[in-house]
Amino acid sequence: MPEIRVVNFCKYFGKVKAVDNVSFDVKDGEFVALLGPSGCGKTTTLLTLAGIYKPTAGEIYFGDELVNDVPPKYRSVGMVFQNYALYPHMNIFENIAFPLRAKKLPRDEIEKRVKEVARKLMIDQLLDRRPSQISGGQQQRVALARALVKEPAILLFDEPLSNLDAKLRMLMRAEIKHLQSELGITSVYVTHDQAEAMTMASRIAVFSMGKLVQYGTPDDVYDRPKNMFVAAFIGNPPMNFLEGFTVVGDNQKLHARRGNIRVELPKEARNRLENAPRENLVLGIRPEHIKIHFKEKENTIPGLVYVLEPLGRDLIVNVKLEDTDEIVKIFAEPGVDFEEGQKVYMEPWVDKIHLFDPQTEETLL
Amino acid sequence: MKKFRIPKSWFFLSPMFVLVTLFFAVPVVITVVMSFTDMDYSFEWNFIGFMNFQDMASDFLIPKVLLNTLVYTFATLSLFNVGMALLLSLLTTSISDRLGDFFRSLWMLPRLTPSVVYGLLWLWIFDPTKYGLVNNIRAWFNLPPQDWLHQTPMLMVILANGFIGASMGMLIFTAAIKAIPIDYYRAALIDGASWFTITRKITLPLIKWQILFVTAYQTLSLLTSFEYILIITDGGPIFRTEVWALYTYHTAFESFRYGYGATLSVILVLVGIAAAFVYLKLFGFEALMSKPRIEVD
Repeated sequence: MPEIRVVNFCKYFGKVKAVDNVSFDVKDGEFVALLGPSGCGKTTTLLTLAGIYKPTAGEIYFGDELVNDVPPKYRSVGMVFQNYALYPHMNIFENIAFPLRAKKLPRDEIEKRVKEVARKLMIDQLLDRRPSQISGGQQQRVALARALVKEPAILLFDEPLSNLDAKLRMLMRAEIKHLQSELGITSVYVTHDQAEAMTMASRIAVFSMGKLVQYGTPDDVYDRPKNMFVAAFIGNPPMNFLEGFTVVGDNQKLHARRGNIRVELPKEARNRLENAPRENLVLGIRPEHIKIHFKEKENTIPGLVYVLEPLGRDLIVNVKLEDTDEIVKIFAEPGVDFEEGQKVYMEPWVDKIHLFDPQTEETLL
Repeated sequence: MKKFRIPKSWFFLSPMFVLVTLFFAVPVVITVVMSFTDMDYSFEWNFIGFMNFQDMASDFLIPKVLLNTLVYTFATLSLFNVGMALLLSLLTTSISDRLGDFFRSLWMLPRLTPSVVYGLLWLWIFDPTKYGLVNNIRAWFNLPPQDWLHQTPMLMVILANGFIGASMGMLIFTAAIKAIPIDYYRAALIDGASWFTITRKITLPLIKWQILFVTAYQTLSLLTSFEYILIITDGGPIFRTEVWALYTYHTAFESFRYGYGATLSVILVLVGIAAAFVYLKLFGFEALMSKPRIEVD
């Protein structure tokens, strides 16, 4: 039985459709990320799960219970906010104790539970400080402690790491993931950072302009993006797109062709492209799915090395196509030297090639 | 030899400096000096030392005026200028913005009315004859007309000042409440806090500084304001609404005892300064301004 079920959920603010007909479910104990650019409706969805907003249409179930009209305090949710929302006039102890005081728990029970969760999150030495007297990373832990202290059935995260510096973000990413799997609390995590969604979530819901574009495992959305938006949004650097390809071929093999460029397509292309348009398509290939050759070869795309971006462990080679000036980014194999201006031939991995319809932006292959 | 040059900033500050000196500093000094004279309608600077201050101790009206001032200031301040202002801002920020704006605009209307007109309106509302608004309404229920201004003059004065005075606090508190990040309220709602708990534990502590400001500012302005009392009761009947500032005015401009009047206002200034210090201590001004101890991990 799914813990959270969102069915045909819509939320309008006046004429603005913040969320439009979104359905998904979250299993008991699952960690799901809502991913998308700002203004895509992911935070609206989260606040509706929290009970701050009411759905304009559709249903939200926790277990078997329809919770559309259940006020926040009866939902057993804990939430971590982007700016932590720690009360500046209370010390850390009082901040963490706030949900318990609202529940009117006995004094010694409150003390016991606050100290327990503070120890778990390694903030027990800060309990008498004010939020302004501790660092951003510590504030983040306090916010997490406040969400956990009431032992909620559901945890909601609203971009909790985006105010931290890059190093701390990586650290907290792993820590939140570990904590979640240890406690097994059903979690919904809103983020615009695809790396966070990919690393932490068991399933990712990709939002765009108020709609749920794709819902699947990290591998699903990465390897089988449903459209160009998902393909471009997930992955860093993003997928390379080359426009204006035509599908040609005989009984043996299908190829994508543009001018003198010809790229081989995988076997399953024959079935998948049967009823699809064949002209003026967009070819998509991820930076790590291209092999670079220095000699001319069949089924390759020629270009000149434009600029090199060494990342220490990896090297990103930017190759400029001579006829269209399009830039293709490639993760190069280690140990190969490149020079700017050098002529190279790019060979996409056959079974990693994608084709998109530029009109609908839907994935064809 | 280096030539002495006046910094440019002084030049730009000079107009304000002249204005402040001319209209604030000089009058205070003149008042203080005048309080040591027995100046009357002949405008002679006749110094009499501390005689005025001694006279004040034996002035039989002073205890009455003092009590009136205390009742008037404390009641108007707590019931209206801070109390009603807080209530209005808390309530109008808890409903929809449009309705909230409507009610706040309603309370702002008296501010748009000239003081004398506003005072006369109160006189009409509580007119002792059946033509007064309140007595007119009483007549519908066959109740006899009441002479409010003679029966409860202090209440009338407090109401008149309070209804116009609450709007300033209301504006400042509303602005302060709206500046509180919305996530504090969302977090509190999710954590199960009621409206009352949120108000007591989050809103009020976070607008403490604004409450201090309005309390201090309104105390001082109530201590020195008397125009509505002058219009509505003129301190009467029989000194029942004669407050310190009005008594000062009557002494100086009706009895023409400028020296004694100046003495009375000097006392008022001292009381005002003392009140301001007490408020700053009471609200923990130093703690409000303390620097954070941030450490980086």
